[in-house]
Formats: sequence, structure tokens, C-alpha cells
Amino acid sequence: MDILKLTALELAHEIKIGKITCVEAVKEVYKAYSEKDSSINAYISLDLDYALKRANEIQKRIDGGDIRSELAGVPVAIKDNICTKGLKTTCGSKMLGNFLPFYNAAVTEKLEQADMIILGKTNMDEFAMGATGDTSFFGAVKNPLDHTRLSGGSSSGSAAAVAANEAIISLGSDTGGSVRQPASYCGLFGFKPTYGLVSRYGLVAYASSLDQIGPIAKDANDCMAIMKIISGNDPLDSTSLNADINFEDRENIDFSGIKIAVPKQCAVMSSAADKFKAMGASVDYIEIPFFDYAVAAYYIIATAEASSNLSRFDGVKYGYKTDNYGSLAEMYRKTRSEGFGSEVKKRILLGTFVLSSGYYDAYYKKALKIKELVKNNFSKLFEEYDFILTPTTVSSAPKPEELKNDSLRRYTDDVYTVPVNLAGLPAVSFPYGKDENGMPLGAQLIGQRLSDVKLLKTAKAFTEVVR
Amino acid sequence: MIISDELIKYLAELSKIELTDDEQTVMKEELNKLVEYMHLIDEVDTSSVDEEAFGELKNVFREDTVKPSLDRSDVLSAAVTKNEEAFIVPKTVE
Amino acid sequence: MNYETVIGLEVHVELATESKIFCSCTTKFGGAPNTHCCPICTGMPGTLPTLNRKVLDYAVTAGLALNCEIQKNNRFDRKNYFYPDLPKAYQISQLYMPFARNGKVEITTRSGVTKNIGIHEIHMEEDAGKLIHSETDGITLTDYNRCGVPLIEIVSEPDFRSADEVIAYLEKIKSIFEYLGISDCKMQEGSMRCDVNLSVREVGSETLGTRTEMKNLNSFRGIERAIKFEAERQIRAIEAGEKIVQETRRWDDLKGVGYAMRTKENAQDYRYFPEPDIPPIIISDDTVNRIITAMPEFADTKAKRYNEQFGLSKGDAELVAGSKHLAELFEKTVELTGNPKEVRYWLVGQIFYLMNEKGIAPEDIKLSPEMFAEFVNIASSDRINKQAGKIVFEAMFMSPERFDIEGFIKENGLEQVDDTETIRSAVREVINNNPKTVQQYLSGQTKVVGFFVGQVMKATGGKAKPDTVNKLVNEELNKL
Repeated sequence: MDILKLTALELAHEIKIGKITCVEAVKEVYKAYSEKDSSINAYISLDLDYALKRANEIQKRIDGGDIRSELAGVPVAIKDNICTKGLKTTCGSKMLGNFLPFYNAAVTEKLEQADMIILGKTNMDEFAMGATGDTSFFGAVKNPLDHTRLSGGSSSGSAAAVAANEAIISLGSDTGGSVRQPASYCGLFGFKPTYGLVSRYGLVAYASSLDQIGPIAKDANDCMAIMKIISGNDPLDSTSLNADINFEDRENIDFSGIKIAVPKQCAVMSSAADKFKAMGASVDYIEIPFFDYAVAAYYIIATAEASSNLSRFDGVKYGYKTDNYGSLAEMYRKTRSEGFGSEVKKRILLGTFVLSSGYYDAYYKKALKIKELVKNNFSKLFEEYDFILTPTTVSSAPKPEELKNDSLRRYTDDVYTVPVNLAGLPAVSFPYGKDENGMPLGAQLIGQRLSDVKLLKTAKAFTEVVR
Repeated sequence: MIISDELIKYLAELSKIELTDDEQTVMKEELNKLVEYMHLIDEVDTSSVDEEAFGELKNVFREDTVKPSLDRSDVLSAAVTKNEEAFIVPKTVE
Repeated sequence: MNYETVIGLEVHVELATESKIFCSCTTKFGGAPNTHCCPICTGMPGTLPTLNRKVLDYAVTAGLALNCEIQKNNRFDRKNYFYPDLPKAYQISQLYMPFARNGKVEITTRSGVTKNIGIHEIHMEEDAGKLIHSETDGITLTDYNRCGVPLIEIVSEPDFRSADEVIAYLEKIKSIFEYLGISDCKMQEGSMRCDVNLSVREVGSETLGTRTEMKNLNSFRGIERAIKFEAERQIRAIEAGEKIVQETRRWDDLKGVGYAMRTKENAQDYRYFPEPDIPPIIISDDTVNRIITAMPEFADTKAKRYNEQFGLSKGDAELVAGSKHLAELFEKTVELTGNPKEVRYWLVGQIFYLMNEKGIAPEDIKLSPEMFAEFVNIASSDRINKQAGKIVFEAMFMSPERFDIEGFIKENGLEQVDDTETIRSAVREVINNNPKTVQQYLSGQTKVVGFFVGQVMKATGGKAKPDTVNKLVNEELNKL
């Protein structure tokens, strides 16, 4: 049996029935890592000793019939902006290059309690700012399907690790598409939950009102299984919801009565739309005018929050500190200038600008209003439709040189993913088709708040039929 | 051009980021491109939305109970410059 | 030319919750540096604030007590600036939507002038840490114990015209908050702090002059001196034809001078924006009504009641009611003894005297109502007389811990003597030993009776019951 080809649920099943031990699973995944990661660069740190120690403990429990979750014994990779006690958490930045948290993120705790095995921390765009995977201080992540291409981002390593079989399943974080877009570039499922379903405690914040942790996996059921583990109200995150959502519900969905809207500008989705129709759903092509300006508002809000969230990196309490200073002001300036990469600096400056005296009303305040407007517009659409179907990205995984000299493209490529975060909605990206170079394309379904289970079930049914 | 040399210097000072002259030139150009793009929002009519619209969540509280604090060695563990009881910074007063 | 000083105050008050505003660390004052800290209050990456319910309750209580309109819709904002006492590099505060507005406080100054001071707004925020400057090696140490201790900032209207009014206002707020139990308002521990905005103008002028802001004022006396200093400085400058610069000034209480802070610290752009980590807070009418119902009686009403109900003089009543501790001691003891007259006698006569004499603040009084009541019951019986009572009271008041009133009376032989035979023989002895005074008495100078009584008291070690002594002295003298 090829362990690496299994989904997380399949592997968990084999472990449960005793065909595979979790130690074997860890070793097999580690083997793939040691063969491939020097070229792919999906991981920033990997702690084999810890993973094996955990695997042994967990195997003993499983042998004794103590199975703590559906995914007990399955190795998992997590994005390096999610705090892990005693395991470096760098955010892909020199600023936190040696940061060893003494506390766990809420999701880290939950994975451990579910007896999943945290294998290591995945590479990412610095502080989750970027959609390319090439702004990491630890080097760009290559797309496992074509090493000349990027893996997307910012959860670049989380997607690449699963695509390269260096992980069975992974967690990323999605602020404007950072789970869905790399999943799409790497031919995987990426799920962005309803804002507040997964605790953000211990997720190093990029944009607090938009960040949400989500899985990257080989299929929709794996997403459901890990969502069951990581979701739920957390008293340490005041923005976390107390929602009644049943990720154990895997029953087939009945497509009759499902209404799907496709934005008129997304003609590229017509074949997928036709397949939904063939399955019994109804599809309308409609004008959705707010996607473009949603992106502009998104960058104002995201960079504003980022400029504040990243101010705490000042060399005093943790992280990088310059050697080269006299005064306090100089220590701050040098530490931050040496510790942050240029994309991060750019976004901090932009965020500082939109909040600064004299510009706040025209930019930030206006953007907040647009956020409300986008929310309202989505709500109206969902009065009539169950889902909105779009491509996940404008194109497939680009080559680095295609992005040179077009800094704006790095921002506007997110046009389909960003509005989802702005409105706090759930969305799933699933593989659908390939481009002329054989690179995977992704389709995105957006649902209303708390329709997470229905979304994943729909994506599952659809991809099973298409396959 | 909204972001002038003067403004970018001001923003850099506010955010404690030092830019070399070359960096400043590149940054200014890129920021202006982005700011220009952001002006898409100018044309959007937002008169229908309430500025103070609050989201779905409200009144999330914690009870007033004390839990043990951390060991000081943990609090200080990740700092570069410290002594056994505090973080150390350059003198803040003359 | 005649000038008028115009003052507005920003008063920061620490709320007396058990835990911090956004995490579960203790708010206790002191403690070794960085021992009341957790990942949240030290701003570790990925941590999030969660609002302490009691902070909101206390804040609303304060707002209502200062006659403010409580705002229904509330939100926190981030105030961004870099400083080592602020680990997140932003302070969670309220700028756009403070929870209370448009209040007023009635004050009475020492000279007896009564006026209203307007409250512009009150907002909630978190305190910053403490910086400890090393004199020798050019470094500053950071202590984050105070980070996240809940504060309210009370912003007054520019309604003050003198330091006297400022002090009356601060004392009033202190008294109200003590009654509410929401803050101990100790300036020396920093749980009450005050920034003074001050300008001067010609008397009669309608427009405000340019104001300066004084920070770092940490005693009532310091505030008085700083106000005097700054008003005089501004008047001198204006008379010399200089312009007042709007600036932040620091008061150095040791040297007794204020000075301008560097202009860089003056130019601030805090980039306030709504705190995305804390959902909005809606304060319902129910919450407001619940808090109003639970509101205690304040000093003004109490003083009036003490005067009318218990016969305390107006001045004594205000003195007792002005301190929550004294008022509680008084009321509880009255309740326990049912003898307000006797309680009043000892409170006004002895407690006030001893506080004054020994320099004890009301909140530092250790005497419990139970012990005071026990004493009052003994003192109002025939067991000890007033003179002995004073001796017992002082000993008890100064160290009431495990004080044994009965034991003390016995040990010191203070029990009142009311044995007619013993007293009569003492009276006879005094009469025999003072033939000259007896002659005076017989020649009609009846006021010497007092002398005999005094001598008998002395002879009985102050323990004889004065009424009996009086009676027997008169009896024996009349026999002559």
C-alpha cells in the first residue's frame, strides 16, 4: 500500500484497523520530505524526533482502543504563523527567525488533543503577505507539479507539502485567499471557513478581521474531518463563534433545488456550471459588480490592520533585534528595517498611510463602509442563491518571471477570493480542469455564513461525479 | 502623485521603518500605484450603509477571575536583551 | 491686567477588578517586575484580548455616578505608538465611541463655593507598563505588571478656575469611587492620575487662551503647585509679549518646576482605528437600570442624613460621610449598638482626635465595627468611666488586632468603682486633708466642690464613678 497516496481519512482508517502504524506513516512522509524538500522548500522546520515520540504514544493509545479523533495518528503540517510551543514559529520572516513560542495556538492544542501528529511548520509568504510564496525569508516554495512555477501563497508550503506527499493534510491561513489560491495552484482542496469558526488564538495576526485558519487537503471529506477537530468556540478569541455546525454530516447532497449564481465575467466557468446543471442544480449568470472595488477596500483594511499588528515587532520582547543602535528610536528603526522584507514594509507603509491623520476618512473609513456594502450585497445574493461559483484564481500557477515588473498583478489576482474574506463567508476551492500546460485550475464555491458543511458536501459530490 | 517624498518619510517615521534613498524611490513608485488603484473605492456609493454597522457578534466577555501568571523566565525567554527580571531597552529619558 | 485661569482635567482611574482588562493576570499593585504577566498582556504574537465583564460594569457605574449619558453602542479602538511600556505598540482605548458623555459633578471648595463641573466624556482603556531608569548604565528596564490594568479616563470640560476647585473635584471623585468600590484612587500608587490642561485669559474674555498639558502629576499637593507654577508662567509670558505654545509639559515635583517635553513627543499621529479583535458592546437599558438600582448612597446624601438622623454637626457629618471607611465604621457600629449618641461621642471625640494626632488616613483605620461596638457597650454601662474609656480607646484604636477590651480594663485596673463605702471614706479623707478649702466652702464659695470631686477621683485612681463621687462629696460637705 502506498501510504502517501491515501487521504487523511483513509490513512486514519488503515491505522485504526492495524494495517499501518502511525510510526510507519510518519517515517514514510519523512522519507518523501528528505527526498524532495531540498528542491521544493515546503517546510521551514520539521521535528522528526518529536513526531516519532508522539507517534509512539499515540500508537499505544490506538492499540489500546483509545481513538481520540477521526484523524488520530495522521501526520499534519501546519503553517509557520501558527504558534507551536517549543517549535520555532517564524512567519517566514527574519523578524521571527528564532522565535520559540512558550504557548500553543488554539488549533495546535486541538490537533494534539485529537492525536494528530504535528510533523513540522510550513513555509509561507512573509507574515502571510503575498500570493506567490516567494516573499519568505527562507526562500520561495516551488510548485511540486512544475518546479519552474510558484506554488502560490501565502500558505505556499502547506499546499506544496501536500502536493509533494510531504504531508497528508495541512493547515494554512486565509486572509484574502491564502489557503484557496495555493491549493488551486497545486491541484488540491482548500477551505476557508466562516470567519469565527476556527479560533485565531495563536495565529500570528496579519489582518485580524479577515484572517481565518483553514485546511489544505486531498479531498473534501478530509477538510470536513479536520474542521471537526479545529473548529469551535474559544473563550480566548472573542471573535470566535458559538455556532452549531456538524462536520460529521457527510450525507450526500441533493442537487435538485440548489441554485448557483455565476458572475457574468466568469464565462470560463461555463463547463463546470453545465455539470452542476446536469447534476440537477439550476444556474444563473448574473452581474456581480462589487468584486473589483472589494479588492481595493480589502487592501486598505488588511494593510491598516497589518500596520498595527506588526508594530509589536520592535526588538524588545522577542524576535530579531539589530546590533547596530544607540538610541531607542534607532533600535526600533534598524530592527524593523533589517527584520522585515520589502513586501511587508510596503504593506506596513500603506497601512500607516490609510490610517494617518488627514487620510483616514477617505481611505480606511470608506473601506469599512465598502466592507458593509459587500456584505449586504452578498446577503442579498444568498437570499436567492445557495452558492456563487467562480474560478479560484485568474490564471494557473505563474512562473516567477511573469510577475516581475507587474507589482499590481500580485494584488489584483485575488479578485475572486478577497471579497469572501471581506464578508466573512466560507468558500471552498477544488480542482477543476487543467490549463494548456497541464497545470491544475481551481473552482471556487462561495456560500453564506455558516453554510460550511453544505459547501464541502457540494464540492465533494461535484468532484466525485467529475472524476 | 499622492505619496510624495515628504509623505513617505513621514510614514516611515511613524512606522519606524528606515528606507535608503533607493528603497524610497522604488517604494514611492509602488505605493503610488497601489494608492491609485485603491481610488476605485471613490466611485462607490456607500450612502446606503451605516458607518457604525456592527457585525454579528456583540458583548463577548470574560469573567473577572484571576489565573496564575507565567513564570518570569518564560515571559523573558524570547528577548534578546534582558536581565533576570526585565527587558532592557536604551534609556528612554535624558 | 487681571487674568483668569481656565483648567480642564483628564483623570485616569484604575478600576479595582481582580484581573486585568483583557487577560486573567492579577491587577495587584507591586509584585516583582514581570511576575503578573502572560502572553496576552506582554503582546506575544498571535495572542488576543478578551474583555473583563466587570470592567464594563465598573465603568458604567462610574459614568452613572458622574451623571453621564451612557452610550448604547460601544467599541474599542487602537491607539498606535511605539514606546517600551506598550508591548503591543498599541493601546486598546476608546476614541470614536466613548461609553459615557455629558456628565456633571457638583463640587464644594474649601472656601465653601459650590459649582458644577461638566464631564465631557469617559472612556475605558488599558494601562501601560512601568519603566525603570537606571541612573548609571544608560538603560531602561521594562516592567509589564501594570500592562492591561483597567483604566477609565474622565475628561472634564474646561470648567475649573482655580487649583482649589481642581482639588475639590478630585476629592469628590475619590469619595464617589470609594463608595462605589470601583477604585481605591490612591495617587501615590498611581491608581488615580491626573493630566492638567491649563490656559489663562483676561478676565471677561470669552475666548480660550492657548493651553498646555501637564502630565506626571501624582499628588494633590503637586497638582496645586503645578497649577500655580504654570498659570504664573503663562501670565508672565503674555505680559512679556510672548506667545503661549501648545505643548505637553512635565511637572517635576521634587524641583517644583515644570518644563516642556521635546517637540517630537508632542507631534503624534496615533492612527486610531476600531479594534478588530473585540466585538462591539451594546449597553442595554436593563444593564443601566440594574446598575442604578445597586447604586449606594453617596457622601452628600449621607452627610445630610447623619446630621438629621443622628445629630452630628454639619461639619462632623461631612467629615464622616466624606470617607467610605469612616461612614461604614460609623453606620455599622450604630447598627450593632443601637446607641448613635455614644458612637458619635467616641467617633468625633476620639477617632478624629487620634487620626489628627497620629496622622492616620481614614482608609488606614484598622478598628472594626464589631470591636468598636463592644467598646461602646462597655463604655455606656457603669463599668468604666469616660476617663478610663479614653485610655482603653486609644490602646484599642492604635492596635486593634486581637485587642482584648475586658482584659485590658482588668490588667490596668480601670474598672469603675461605685462602692459607696470606699468612695465615702475617700471623700472624708479628702475633706480632712483640706481644711482651708473646707473653710472656703463654708464661707459660700460652692464652686470648690469641683476641687473635692477632682481630688477624690485622683485618690481613687480615676476609677470612681463620677456621679457617685459628686453625690457623696455634696452629702459630706453638707454634713459639716
